[in-house]
Amino acid sequence: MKAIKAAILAAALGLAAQQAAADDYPVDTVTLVTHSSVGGGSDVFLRELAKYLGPKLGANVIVENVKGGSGANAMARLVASPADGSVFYATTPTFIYTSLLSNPEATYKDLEPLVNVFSDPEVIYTAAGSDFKSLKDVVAKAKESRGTWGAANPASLERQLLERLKTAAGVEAAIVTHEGGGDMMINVLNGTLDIGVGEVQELQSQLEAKQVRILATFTADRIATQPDVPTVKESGYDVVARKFRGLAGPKGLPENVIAAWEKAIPELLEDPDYKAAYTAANLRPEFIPHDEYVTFIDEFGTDTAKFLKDSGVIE
Amino acid sequence: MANRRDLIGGLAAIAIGAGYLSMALEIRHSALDDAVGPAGLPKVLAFLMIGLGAILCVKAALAGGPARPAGPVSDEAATAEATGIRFSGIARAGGLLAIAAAYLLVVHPLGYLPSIFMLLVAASLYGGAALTWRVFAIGAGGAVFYWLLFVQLLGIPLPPGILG
Amino acid sequence: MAMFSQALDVLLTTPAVFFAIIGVAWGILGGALPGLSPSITMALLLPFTYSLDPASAIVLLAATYIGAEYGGSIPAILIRTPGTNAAAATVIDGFEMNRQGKAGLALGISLYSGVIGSLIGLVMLVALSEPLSAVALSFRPPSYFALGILGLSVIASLSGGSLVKGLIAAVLGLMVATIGTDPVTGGNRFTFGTADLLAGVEPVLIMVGLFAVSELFVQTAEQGGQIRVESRARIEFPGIALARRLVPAQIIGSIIGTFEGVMPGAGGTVASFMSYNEARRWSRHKEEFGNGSPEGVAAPETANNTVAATAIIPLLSFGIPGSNSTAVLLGGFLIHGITVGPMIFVKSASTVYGLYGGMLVASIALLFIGMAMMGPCIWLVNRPRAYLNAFILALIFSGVFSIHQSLFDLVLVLIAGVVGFAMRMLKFPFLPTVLGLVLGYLIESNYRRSLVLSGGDHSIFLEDPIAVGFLAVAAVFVIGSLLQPALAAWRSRRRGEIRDVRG
Repeated sequence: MKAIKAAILAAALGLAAQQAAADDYPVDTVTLVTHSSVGGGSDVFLRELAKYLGPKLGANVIVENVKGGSGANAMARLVASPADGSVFYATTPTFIYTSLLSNPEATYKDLEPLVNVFSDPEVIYTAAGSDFKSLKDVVAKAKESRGTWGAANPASLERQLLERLKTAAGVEAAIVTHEGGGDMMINVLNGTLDIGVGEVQELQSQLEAKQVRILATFTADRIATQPDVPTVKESGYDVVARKFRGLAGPKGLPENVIAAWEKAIPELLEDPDYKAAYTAANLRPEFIPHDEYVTFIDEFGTDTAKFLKDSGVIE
Repeated sequence: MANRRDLIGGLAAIAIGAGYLSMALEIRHSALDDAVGPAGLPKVLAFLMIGLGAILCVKAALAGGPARPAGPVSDEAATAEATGIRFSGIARAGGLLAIAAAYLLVVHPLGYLPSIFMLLVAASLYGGAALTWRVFAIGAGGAVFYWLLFVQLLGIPLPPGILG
Repeated sequence: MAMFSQALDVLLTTPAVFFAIIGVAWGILGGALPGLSPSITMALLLPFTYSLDPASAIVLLAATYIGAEYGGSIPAILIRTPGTNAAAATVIDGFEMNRQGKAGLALGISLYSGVIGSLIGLVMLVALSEPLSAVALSFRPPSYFALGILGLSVIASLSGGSLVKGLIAAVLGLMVATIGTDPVTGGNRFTFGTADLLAGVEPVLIMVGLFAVSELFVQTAEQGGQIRVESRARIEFPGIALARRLVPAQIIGSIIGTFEGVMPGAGGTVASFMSYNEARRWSRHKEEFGNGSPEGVAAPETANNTVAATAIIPLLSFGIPGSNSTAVLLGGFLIHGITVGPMIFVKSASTVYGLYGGMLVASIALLFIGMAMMGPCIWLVNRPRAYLNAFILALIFSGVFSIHQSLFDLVLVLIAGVVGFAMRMLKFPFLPTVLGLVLGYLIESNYRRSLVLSGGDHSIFLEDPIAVGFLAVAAVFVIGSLLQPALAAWRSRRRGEIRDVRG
């Protein structure tokens, strides 16, 4: 959107003076594309990132919202762009799900993962007033009667995690899908659901108000802000996930561009001002360098495709 | 000729229902399905549509004469009743559709400003405006106005085309 | 009292009052442009809110929402095209009044009902946030399903002459609602392999096509055949007698608006249709509905402006945006680093009270800005038909393009226009189509969710008291409207008999 671009550009220009010295990035302006609408979760994350990234990278960084098709339009925009480091797409698992579920013209396989920046811890939570004290209690209930577990969206990472947990625990629980995390929160709060799965930052306000309680996390290690909460794996079910937030570009990114990002992102994550901003937003820094990230995305895609195929959602 | 109108409407409903049903039957089953499934509601809707279409056809065939509307008359009914548009009218409406479709074809290559100007001029002339300089002046004024409103004020990236 | 002093403090120390007024004016403009929904109008402002203080930013967005909900009624009345989804019900009597040369009065009623709705909604928001959020919390999937069915029961009275045709039209709308991603499995349905249809069809596209484009087609088809009524280019407010008559309709609108606003997912469109229907049911002038009833304008316009205030309740209480518009508002909070949810009253109280104060300013400003903008609008629609129609077509194409910057959306609008034209030729009502489209997803997803919860047992609907209540009311409505013609016939026959006896 032009007005947005103008606004961001104005913000970025203020920083231009500082960056003149370190300027060896091949292009002047970097556009970060998101399929999230203005003010949406990914969008706010990206705008915050853009604010601090400019000086580190030595280029103006602007954000462009390409909505529609759950990311399909944004991927098409990327594939049609030059691979010179001027355009990147803010990736979340959504872009893999969209690629697999809807067979758009351009899929995640047509893009080249750049680096990863953050990961959002996925957690299992329940209403503060519920009887469940641990994940074991939830599974026990699902064994004797019928568990009701909530996932924010159909065919999402959350749903996949719950299906895997169901298999790992050997129970028959009803997995109820919703139209987003808020919709599901109501059903957890009013006791319709035993548990819900979501990202910590979505629960922030309810956690502070002590309306919900986290039972377990799907992360590999315990999360820093919730040191007493065990991981799902510790609870005895081998289900681990990383909900990544990174960047991807058109295929064939030049070496110097990749190197510039691999240098800029770790620096950025250490920047005290930016650190304060993303810690407040409950984002966990998780830098993954280019080579590793390519493998990671590939594996994530293969795993997801297998899950969707095994469950018969896609052919 | 209310009964013939209803007969056409009923047949159209049956056709839509049947087409929709054939697509509904193609919906994939998956292990993530619930008891109803993705095709559950569509199938019900398809049969409802076919059934309702059949009822309308039967009623139309039995009615014979022009049906009188019972109950409150909606404004849609009133319009259609008052006008009684004939085939030539439908053809004229088709012309407007063609103008609209032409806009869709040219807006990307030519850009918003020239395309909207052409749309305004063509639609005004087609709507019965006399072919004088006024049509072009108003069209140009309108195009600039919309361009200022949407592109400049609202910041919507309408296709820039040849001027961009 | 602390609340009032904090609200006043915000209004006096920040430019919030100024932004409340700007927001209303912007909102009316965006709402009046077909295709630009309240949420898009608000989203266009988001980039500018980065540089504002939090209270001004939120007030600007909320005021835009208020203005847009009113603005939608302007084209609904003047050119038979709802500018926003929630103004679809206003088209019925609003345009009819315009056709009778009473456009100024219809706009006046819409404006003052909108102001009343905003004020009542604001009172609800400030005073009853807590009990109303408890209502929202008590809604489970079976309750939402029943709510959707209750909404559909309105079809019977929107069908005009033929119930069968009304039902066909409604099923058509429900069919369109199934396009896109399946609510349970996430698989694709009826997308014809295009990514553009994945997220479903935006109701606004179908509405603009059915109402506006089909109207252009009809006018082209009957060129010169219809006599035009010049609308007087003046806004008129109702006199005391009429204002008194509108009170019940406005009360109905604000009550329904309050509850629909609080429930995530229900929204202004359903509220305005239901209050239109209820206003008719309780009116002493039932026969005027559909023929230019002022109550038929007052009820939905009160309702959708009430929704604009009460929809903020679940956002503030739970951090849950129940509609696109409140999602943008949530974005406004996020941009300023404010976490929305139960703690907001503790952590960012002054912003919340500033929001209340700003909304009060906006509701009052709506009256004056609305009046000022009305004259030019009426003047515009009195231009020669050929030019007017060309400008409307260009306006639709520009407005619709702003939703996703997609030509595909324009194609959908044209298809909907052709379908609408055919429906009018064949005398099908299309309000049931709109209703089916708006409610289809709500009904299907919650029906299936309920059955997933219960393991396929339908008794879950009978165990939920709210669902039982709604379904019972819906049943009464449907049976009532089916019996009404018979009842009316019986009454008139009796009257005839009495007359015979007398004669």
